[in-house]
Amino acid sequence: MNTNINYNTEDLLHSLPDYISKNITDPELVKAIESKISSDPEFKMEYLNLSETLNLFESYNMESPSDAYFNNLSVRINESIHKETQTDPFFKRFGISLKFALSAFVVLFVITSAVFYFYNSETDKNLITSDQTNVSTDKNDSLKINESGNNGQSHTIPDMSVANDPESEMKNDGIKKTELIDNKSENTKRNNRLSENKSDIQKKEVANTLNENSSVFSKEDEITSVPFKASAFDELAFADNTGANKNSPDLSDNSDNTESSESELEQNDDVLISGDSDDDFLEEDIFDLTPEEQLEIVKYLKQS
Amino acid sequence: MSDKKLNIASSDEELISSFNKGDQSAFNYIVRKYQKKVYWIIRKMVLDHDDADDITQEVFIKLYRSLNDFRGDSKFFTYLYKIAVNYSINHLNRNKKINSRKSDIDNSLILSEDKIADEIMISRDRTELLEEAIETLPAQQRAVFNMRYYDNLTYEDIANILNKSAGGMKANYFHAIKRLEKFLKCHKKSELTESN
Repeated sequence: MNTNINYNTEDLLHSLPDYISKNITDPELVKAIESKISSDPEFKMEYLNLSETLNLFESYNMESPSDAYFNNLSVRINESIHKETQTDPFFKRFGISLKFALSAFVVLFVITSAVFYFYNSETDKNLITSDQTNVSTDKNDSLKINESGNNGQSHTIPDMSVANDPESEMKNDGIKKTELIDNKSENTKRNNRLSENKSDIQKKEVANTLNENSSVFSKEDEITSVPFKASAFDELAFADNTGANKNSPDLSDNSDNTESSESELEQNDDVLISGDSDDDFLEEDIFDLTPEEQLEIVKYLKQS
Repeated sequence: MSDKKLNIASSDEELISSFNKGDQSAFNYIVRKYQKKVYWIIRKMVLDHDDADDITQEVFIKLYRSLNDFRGDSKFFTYLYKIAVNYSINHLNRNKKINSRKSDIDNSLILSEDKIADEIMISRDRTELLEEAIETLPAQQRAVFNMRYYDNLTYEDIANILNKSAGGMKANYFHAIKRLEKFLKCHKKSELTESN
């Protein structure tokens, strides 16, 4: 029976050192190696060379340290361990808590900086999209804010920063941004005030017209005051519808003429404010009318 | 609770258990029990006594720190052996330059049919020559050679210690011996030419 069937040459070659050292427990493998040695001269040569090398190492002995060395070894090991535990670095002693604290600090810092950056970028976008504010920076880094709603007046903020000083530049940037934000809010307030004034003017114009008519016709015919008031409302309604009444300004919402009308309205502010007593008179006058007449007035007002 | 007094002959389980419960003397017994074995594992790897001494201390310091993590999946000595071999391999890899200088063997000098004769080694200390031969081995081959030749560990144990396959370890052992053989033959030829 051929026992070499299960083992190739490489297997047998790799098993040779163990065969020489007599460490092979598999008898079939031992038989296979022995038959290979007897049949293959190259394999036999390999066997002899390996045997010789391993025999050399059998006689190899290292110089052993003294017994005193091993007696002291445990003591020195304990000393080394004691030193290691005493000189543990700061980070190792406070390992976990310090790591958590540091990582939390880093996360907070990142979040804060991200929020700050986001806020700044949003402010910049708002400033760019603001339709009435032009920002220009001259060579001396002075800031001019031109507002179209402010009659072309420009505010010049002198640059107090030192040249090439990044910190002062950042501060000035912050100041400029706050200035721009303030101007924007002022513009918004001014626009609101103007729209309020428009509605006030409308009311007061109506009131003035009513007062004028009522004062004229009341002298002529106090009994027939109702028709006169009706005719006054007719006139008023006509004037509003045609826009032919030159005494009253055109108060329709015309965006093209907004700027000019705004300036006119601003000029008339003082005059209009002083007309509060006329409003009181008008209210009293209306309350004197019959409900039918009041309904008629309301209808006219709705139509106008 | 057993009040069994610990000593160097106590079992590994008892010593480890006592140490994990806070008994520092248990670790002293572990050191005294295994210090010689660990020293010789390392010494055969690094060959130098001072290096072996340093590494032995490092291994026991490592053991002191990691003994709480030992779960008994393998034998305690295998666990300790693994630490010792890995520390030795790391040491050898750090000093690779020194070893590589000696491992430059000129294959042309090798005469395959020549045999190593004892008389050739007269002019040189045999031990020194064998140490030089061992120094030519790469760290892993050296570890495999020592574990198999001197400590008679099975290939499975060696593979477990080095995290390799058992078949690979067998081949590694064979190639380690072939390399030693090649070095010794090379020096036989060079000494012959010197004597002429």
